[in-house]
Amino acid sequence: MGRYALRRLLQSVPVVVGTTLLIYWMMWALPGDPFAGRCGERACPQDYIDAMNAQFMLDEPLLVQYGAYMANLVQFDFGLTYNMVPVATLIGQTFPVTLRLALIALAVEAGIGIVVGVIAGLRRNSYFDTLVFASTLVALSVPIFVIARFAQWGLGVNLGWITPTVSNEATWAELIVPGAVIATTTTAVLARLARTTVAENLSADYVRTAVAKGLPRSRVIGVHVLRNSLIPLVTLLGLDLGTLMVGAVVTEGIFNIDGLGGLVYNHILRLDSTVVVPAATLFVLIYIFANLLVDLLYGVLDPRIRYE
Amino acid sequence: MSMRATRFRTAFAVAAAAVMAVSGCSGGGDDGDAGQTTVTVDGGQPENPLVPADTNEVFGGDVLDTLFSGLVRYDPETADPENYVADSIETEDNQTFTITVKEGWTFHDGTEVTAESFVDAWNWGAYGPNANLNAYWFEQIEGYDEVHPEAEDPEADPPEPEAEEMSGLEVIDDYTFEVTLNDPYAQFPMRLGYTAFAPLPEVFFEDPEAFGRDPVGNGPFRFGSWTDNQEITVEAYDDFAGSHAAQVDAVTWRMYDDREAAYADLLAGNLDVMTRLTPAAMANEVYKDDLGDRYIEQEAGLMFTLTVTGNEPGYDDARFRRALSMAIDREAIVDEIFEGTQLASNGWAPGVVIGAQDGACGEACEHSPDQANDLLQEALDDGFEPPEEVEIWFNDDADHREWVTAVVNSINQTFDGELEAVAKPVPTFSEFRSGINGDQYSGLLRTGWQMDYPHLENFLSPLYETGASSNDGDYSNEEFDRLMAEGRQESDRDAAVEKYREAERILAEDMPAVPIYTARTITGYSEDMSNVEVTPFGVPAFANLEK
Repeated sequence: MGRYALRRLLQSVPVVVGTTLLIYWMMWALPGDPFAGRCGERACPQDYIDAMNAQFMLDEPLLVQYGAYMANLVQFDFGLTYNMVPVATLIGQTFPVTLRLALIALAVEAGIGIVVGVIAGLRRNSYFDTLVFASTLVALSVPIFVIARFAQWGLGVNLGWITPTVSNEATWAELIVPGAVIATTTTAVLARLARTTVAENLSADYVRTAVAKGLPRSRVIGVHVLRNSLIPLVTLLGLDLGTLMVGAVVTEGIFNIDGLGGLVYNHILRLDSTVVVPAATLFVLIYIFANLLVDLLYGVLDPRIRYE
Repeated sequence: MSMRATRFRTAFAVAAAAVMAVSGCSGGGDDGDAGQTTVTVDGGQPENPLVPADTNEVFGGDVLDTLFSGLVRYDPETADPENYVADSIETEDNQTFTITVKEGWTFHDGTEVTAESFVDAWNWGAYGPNANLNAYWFEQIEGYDEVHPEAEDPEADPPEPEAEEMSGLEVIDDYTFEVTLNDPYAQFPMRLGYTAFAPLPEVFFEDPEAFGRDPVGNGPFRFGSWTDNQEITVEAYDDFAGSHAAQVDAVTWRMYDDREAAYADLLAGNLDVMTRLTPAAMANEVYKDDLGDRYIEQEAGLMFTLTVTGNEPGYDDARFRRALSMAIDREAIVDEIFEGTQLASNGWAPGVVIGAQDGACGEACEHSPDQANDLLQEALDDGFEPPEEVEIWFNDDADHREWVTAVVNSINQTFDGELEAVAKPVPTFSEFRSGINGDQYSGLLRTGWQMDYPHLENFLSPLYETGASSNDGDYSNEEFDRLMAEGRQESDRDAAVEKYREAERILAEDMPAVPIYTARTITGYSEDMSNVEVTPFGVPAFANLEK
């Protein structure tokens, strides 16, 4: 298993190089001059644009720029943004916040989604099952920003239970509501998936055998059904960790959370690749890591799966 | 003839004295709770390090306004300039100005503000290789061309400057310096309230880069802290020498990506002051229900126009341009798109500036479909060939789509098939600016102008003089240029204004840009605030905030 993990991590090197180059190229291909909009309604002084282009090597060919950029990157020199702020500061500041937010969302998804789904699966066609069906339908069809605004105005402005926006410290407690908002869609999907899988596994041969040989119901469900139902759920959660790191732009914006997603989004708008490329690299690494974790979990959940 | 300007520094420190007297507050610290009073204001991440010569946008500008006091300050209510750090600004010929600096002003690091603080700062700001965004502010000063030479070919690197200091700046003694301009310019002292003319302490020149993250100024507030994308805090400066000292202990700008979030915070009492309320809050005047009387509505020194690319075929007939202007129903646009929160323009400058003339545009800015059609017909009869489609270009990353579309509809209704207008969105402002600079568009360009200093001249000279820095339509009219030049040489303030007004009326004939609307800002504040004033620049008078 160690060798497997190592091999997987080594595979990530070409992936990272490929993605960064691709993203670098895409940023470079975006139309517009990042410095032309800096002077309001007048043309920026040419010497300013020249100085900025020289500083960020924007007048060099793409591959030269990219080479110099990567050379700095591997030495952990992330450089400055076009606003002269150290990129490392920005990422170092936003990453923990986004991670906290993602973990809260994952916890909500796993906690609520799986539990509710499993119960619904065990009691198919019950009143509870119908309720879950209806509420997941609502959760899936209402856009996230509507839920976010609703939570912000309802809980924040009208009831005053939370502050409408998250403070700069972005503590765990403050992130619970935004985290739960982000989690809605995936929670619904997980609940649906858990219900179906559990329902399917309940009628599987090995369950019938287990029941037939007289195992207590708690053991049949707790060990045999649940464990086998977890594989698709873990896969979904693993993928979602990646999505959560990047995809929370809207919710982050609404709750004024200084997170990675918003950071990347804003710098794409400013055509500022200095933040976008390292952040994207980070996303790729997280994705690779999360998927590796999921793959390794498969082995734990289903001993038939072997690595080599 | 001696010119004595009474002016103030910009945005923050403004209307303090008068208002304080009215509100019965006697200044000198707050008498409320014993704790620290910090006012939170909505803001954003500055685009550049906090150096006066290199900051030209509102987020950084607001902060700098609290950190620096200039020679001149603008009255928050009337926008009238008065001497502030300057004891006097005198001139015989409108070309050489003798500026005396008041004694006793100090920078936040304790060093004294002297004549040199200004001269060194201006020389640094103008010096070409320093590549400052605000360098052009110094272009009227004699010797600017030597320190900031322009390349013949815009693609080429600019040549090495011949000098490091402008010959037009001379330190006479510790508190006196002399400024010589290239040409007479009577309104020059008026410009001195802009941040670019702020004095700089010696510590700046040792390490400008470090200074940009930890600026040291001479204003009512001193720099506190800056967390990128989160907040900037400034603290009251106890040894402030000016007449308008800070009334609260600190001001914090909280940075918002989503302005609706700021509004939610304002209503929940989590934010003290919010400038420029969002369209959602202004729709149906929701803010009046939400805030009660806790808002200030004010006309701002900001207006929006459609600049005509006048030299392009199809746009070179003034009658056609006037016809376009008359085809636009400004009142309807203001009522329907902006719910009456903005004002229909009838001239090329907002009413808040000195010298603004109501109705400068005359009938050309009044909605009259019949006259518009007649004018067009007249031009057509003379062999004028209109463009196939009137293209109206705008950047789609700000709230312009709606009003531009309304203008398009207005034109189409008026000419009813004779002429077709279309809206042409460009995704981002930077792409739009690149396109304008590269002359890629033909037709009408969405343009706007936010005043640098509150004078009619600021809305004319940079925009419509031949070859001016923001003359996007490449407009050129000798008579206009002549009147502007005469205005600059006119020592008498009223006579100068007359010249500028006359020049503005030429625009009504030529219509190089079609005025659409003038902005009003609505600033909301929380129940905790006891005094909020908003300057004509649309920002709170920070030093006067009381909580």
